[in-house]
Amino acid sequence: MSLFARTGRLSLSRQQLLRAAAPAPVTGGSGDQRLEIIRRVLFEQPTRETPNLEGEALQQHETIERAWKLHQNQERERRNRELEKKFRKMSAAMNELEKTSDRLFKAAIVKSRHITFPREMKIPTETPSPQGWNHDYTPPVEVVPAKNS
Amino acid sequence: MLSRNAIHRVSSAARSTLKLNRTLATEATPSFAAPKTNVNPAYDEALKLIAQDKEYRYSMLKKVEKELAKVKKANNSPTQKQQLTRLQQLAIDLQVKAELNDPEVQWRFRNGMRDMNRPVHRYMVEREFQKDRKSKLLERVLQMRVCPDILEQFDPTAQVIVEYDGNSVQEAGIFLQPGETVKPPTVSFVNFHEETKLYTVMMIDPDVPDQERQTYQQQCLWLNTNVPLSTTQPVVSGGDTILPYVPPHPQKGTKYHRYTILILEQPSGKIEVPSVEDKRFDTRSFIQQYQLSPRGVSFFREVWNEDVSRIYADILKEREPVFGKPPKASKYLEDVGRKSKKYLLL
Repeated sequence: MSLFARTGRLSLSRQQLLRAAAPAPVTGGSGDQRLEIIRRVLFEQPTRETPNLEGEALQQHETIERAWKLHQNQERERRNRELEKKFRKMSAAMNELEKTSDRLFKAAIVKSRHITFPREMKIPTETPSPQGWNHDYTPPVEVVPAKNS
Repeated sequence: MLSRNAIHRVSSAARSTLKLNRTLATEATPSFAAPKTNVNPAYDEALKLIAQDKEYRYSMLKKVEKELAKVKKANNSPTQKQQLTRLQQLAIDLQVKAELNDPEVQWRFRNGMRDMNRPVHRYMVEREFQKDRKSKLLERVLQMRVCPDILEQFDPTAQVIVEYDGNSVQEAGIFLQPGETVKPPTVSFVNFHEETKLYTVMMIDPDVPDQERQTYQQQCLWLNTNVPLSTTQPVVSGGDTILPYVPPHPQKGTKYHRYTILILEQPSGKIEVPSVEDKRFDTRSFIQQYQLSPRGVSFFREVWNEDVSRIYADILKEREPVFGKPPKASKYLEDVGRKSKKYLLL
């Protein structure tokens, strides 16, 4: 019993526990079942059941996988193109600045030693919420239907 | 012995898969049945995305073709050749990527209906060879020491398929019987170039014993030069036969022989080879002399059986040599059979 309590605390998958609890096959002379259970829990990985697709389902699955990869590729290319565009604009702006004013150009490329990047800054996201963070959020109250008595 | 049995088993399995492929190709070709739409929304979306991508790439292809025509017209440009090759590469790349995600193309490829006229199928066959078959081929070639024994290690670019009547060398290094290889095989080199190039095809046996020098010698069993090959014509035929096919005949008393088929490209076009001696053939110097570059390799193994005696008698019309270890002088008995004397009178 204590063993099961321990495995529960180890947060092993349910499947593994079930396998461990299954009656151990009789091996050799020393018949201590606990050893077999411990061995199973420690060293045997539960085998994952792979979905067995066939025919049309398999074709569909592969097409979807290909399309997903294609989509990811397209996204990556789009992002790269955007970044390249930004970089080109930046370098053009810096060139322009170099031509107009030497003082401003030097000031633009010098990095201050004392100002560091703020750690607390929010992580930039692709799609920030238009409303920002809702600080006054309260979970909706559960409505209990009135009993008719 | 055990490993040999295992290889026999592998070869029979390979044969059965080949048969399966062939039946698939020759029987009434099954047509592609696309899964129904409006059942799985993800599948519908996937199809839509793939169609969009295809359309986009074909529109790009049209632009590239226009550009190609423009570059072809401009005669006085110094960089015309470079531009042309780059644009042609781009066009092929666009064609391949437009078709690659098509479910029907994938299905056809998987079911053995490979059309080497289509750039996309050519690309898929090449990728299959590079990713899957090449490592296995190189493993066998290096493990069985074909490469340092006959020529230096090289990078094969495509698969060589050797087919005897009813038997084929699906995996390099399998064992065949001498009786199965009496007639010349059908050799095909699954290349990927549309234009016709000239190749030299040869079969070498590096394990023939050389009694005079107390070592092994190479024997060239088949030598064809100036064989025209292209992606739509991968089967070796035509060309100049310098040495006609001699059936493999592993000598009695020797270990297994590695019968190696080499495909060598002739980068400088046609070559003229006068008659060469098949015994004590030197592949390395031959390659160096005619400036050949190795492109493909395959080999099979054979050991002696009764069929070899028949080959010697009927085809080669020679006395069959039998090799073995030299007899050992007995420690205890003299040649006469008497026991040797223990003491000698000096």
